[in-house]
Amino acid sequence: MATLGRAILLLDLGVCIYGIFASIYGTRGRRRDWVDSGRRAVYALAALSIIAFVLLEVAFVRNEFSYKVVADTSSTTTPLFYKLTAPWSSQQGSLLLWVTLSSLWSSLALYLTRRRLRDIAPHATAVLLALDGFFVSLACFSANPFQTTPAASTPTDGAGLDPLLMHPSMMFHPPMLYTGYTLMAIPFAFAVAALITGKLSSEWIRDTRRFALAAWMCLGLGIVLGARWSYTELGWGGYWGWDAVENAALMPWIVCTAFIHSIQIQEKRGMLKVWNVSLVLLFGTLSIFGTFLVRSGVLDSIHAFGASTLGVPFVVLLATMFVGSVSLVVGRREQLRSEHRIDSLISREAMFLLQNLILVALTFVIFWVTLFPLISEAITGTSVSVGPPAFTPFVVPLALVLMLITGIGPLISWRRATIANLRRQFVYPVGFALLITILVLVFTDAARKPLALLMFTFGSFVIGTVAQEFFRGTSARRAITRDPWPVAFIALVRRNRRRYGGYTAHLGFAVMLIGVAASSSFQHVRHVSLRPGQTARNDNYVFRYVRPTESVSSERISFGAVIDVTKNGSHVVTLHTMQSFYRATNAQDGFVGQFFDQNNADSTIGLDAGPLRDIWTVASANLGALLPLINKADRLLAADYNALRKPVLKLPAAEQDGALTADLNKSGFWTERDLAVEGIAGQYLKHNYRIVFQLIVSPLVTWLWTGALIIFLGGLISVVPPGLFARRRSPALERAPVAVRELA
Amino acid sequence: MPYVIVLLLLVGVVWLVSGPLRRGAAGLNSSDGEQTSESMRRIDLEAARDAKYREIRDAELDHQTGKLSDADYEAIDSTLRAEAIALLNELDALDEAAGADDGTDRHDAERLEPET
Repeated sequence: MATLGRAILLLDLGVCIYGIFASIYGTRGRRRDWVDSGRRAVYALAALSIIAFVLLEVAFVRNEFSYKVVADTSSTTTPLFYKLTAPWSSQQGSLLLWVTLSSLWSSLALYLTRRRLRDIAPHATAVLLALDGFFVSLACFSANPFQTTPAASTPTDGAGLDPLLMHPSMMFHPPMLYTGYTLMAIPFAFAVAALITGKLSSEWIRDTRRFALAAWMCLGLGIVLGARWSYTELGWGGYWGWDAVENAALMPWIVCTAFIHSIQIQEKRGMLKVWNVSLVLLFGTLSIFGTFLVRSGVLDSIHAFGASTLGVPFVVLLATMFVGSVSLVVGRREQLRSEHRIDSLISREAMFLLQNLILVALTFVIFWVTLFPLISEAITGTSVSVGPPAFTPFVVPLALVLMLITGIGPLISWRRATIANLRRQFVYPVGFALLITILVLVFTDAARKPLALLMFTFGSFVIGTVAQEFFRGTSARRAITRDPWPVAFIALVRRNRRRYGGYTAHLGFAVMLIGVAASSSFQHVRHVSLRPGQTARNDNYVFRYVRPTESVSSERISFGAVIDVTKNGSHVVTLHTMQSFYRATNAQDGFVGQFFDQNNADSTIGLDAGPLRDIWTVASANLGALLPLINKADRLLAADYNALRKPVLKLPAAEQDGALTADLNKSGFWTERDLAVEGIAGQYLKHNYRIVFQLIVSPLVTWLWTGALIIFLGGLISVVPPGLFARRRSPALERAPVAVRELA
Repeated sequence: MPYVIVLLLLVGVVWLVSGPLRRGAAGLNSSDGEQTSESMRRIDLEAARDAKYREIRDAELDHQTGKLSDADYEAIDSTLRAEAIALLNELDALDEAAGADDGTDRHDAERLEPET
């Protein structure tokens, strides 16, 4: 099957090359049959890539360790769920996933536009196939997922999946990120095509806007799933570390956020054409830049695949995209001239513009600080590491201004506003924000963190704004239709999905940033070393280490702790946290030592999440106490092994492996080893070893996840096509007048 | 066996992508070019018309929710409707030039005339 997989990848490459040729030949020679053939090449690429990906999944499920990628990232003990997710934990498999997703979305986009955008689509097809061809080339020649090892050197078991990747989020986090990245390629390709052909009307934007919105939703969801993974799996208690790869995903998302706002100005007023097309080209390029950071290993990151040879091809691709984009925009600047000017600085379009500038500034700051280690190394020869303190002085003020504008924007009408109207619009949201601020000041110690307090105020202002918008909109609807409140509310949202989907996203943004501000500013963290029965206090909570736990399975050995949490003498929750050790493949660790490898371990946190606070605990198993026992068992087993191996070495080389395996089984060597492992692990319960705990009490972390879900819901409301939930489609002849008349 | 499957896939791919070519050359002659230019203009106008409708609806919603004063709303609404009528008239002109027998957009324009 590996041969079939490799052949399919070569077919993929051939299809890409053919499709590029057919599309360009067809559009230059004005041959629609060739253009259609080029589009079908994308469909063929999608079909072939799906088959290749299924073949790879089958290899993982069937434990075919002759595949190098299977041997490196799976094992017989890897649970089926994680075998299915293992393909994208490797460089090779994730490249194939990229091509599969990209070709699928490209097929969808080109199918939906097959009767429109006839001048632009062939060029867009060529651009999409060129991008896909790049990734297929890497999969064919640099990181082939179907690379196999000779039968003689095929291992009987694989190295297993990195324990840190054994988390439910991993099923969805990488595919969501890749979906976001690959969807971003579609507006990018159509923008390039529009610039090449000079067909710069709003049509390509109208047809690809939903793809940009879908990309924004999927990438955002992928980022949040990554944060959730970090919070619950990595064992450091945080959800965002300003890691290079996290930032690489955040940057195109921020630029896409700017685009889905500013595009409304172009649609309504014919303004900001250069700006909008530049944003599309920027987030398209940044999505490839993110992939470059993950795959090249140029920056250290827990999310990256480590050092690889893929850096140079990516740099060439990025340079081509960047230089090409700038040249195209400069070359078409006359056609991209704005049709109108902003009427008033107190208007929604002015707010959108200000918001766009802040978002781009935020992207620039993140880009600069993320790449600072590389820049520093290039200039001074010394690499410096940057962490959250390097980001927060810039990001926090920008986030505050952004939050304020998020609240102000919806209160101002398009084109112009008067002071009297502004006063009427602002009074309730501002009043609500002040009330919340006073309550926070009275009932909490938030005054000691002014920036966080300001975020609470601005966040409350946004929530007040959104509530007022929904209330007034529904009231206006009811005044005309006399519908009950819920009916009027649903009808309002259904008829103005972009507006109210956007407001819902604003609400989610406010909830999320309030959660971020609270959890990062008022978090209580303690590191304590406890024996069973001892207690430690953190914030107003008392943590008592009740007893140790231990479990041994074929997959892992886990050492944990049961912790009882009380507040003012009342029981709050009982938490169980543990550290699990997965068998390492490094023979130097010893027959027993390889079961207790600190570098092959993960943590299961003890978490009590609530609407107002999270109690988060993790324990680091104290293996130091077990080390003498482990070393002794290794020495004894090594002596037994050598004794069994000595006579075998006298046999012909071809017979040695088989004879040794038979002797080891016959002598009960492996049973002896397993008993030793279980016995040593059992010692953990018999002695009151001291354990280091990290105890965290964080306020409002749940708000972050809830806010993200609300943002996603807002995106969903906006992205749904108009007719999907319509009770009745208007006949074509009536549609336009209805559009005007249904203002009521 | 893998080679047979590869061959079948290759045949399938060739069959799929060559479909339009097998159906015969569908070249775009010079008149197609003109049609494309005209249809591009129509698409532009329709997009502008739809955006204008949205703008009218947004302005009305802004007025109903108290963001626009009566005076501002009347000024903006009449401007937007005038712009929409201009777009619809352009679309009508395109229809007439193409000899179309569809009175839909003229109908729209009549409906958009401010009530007096």
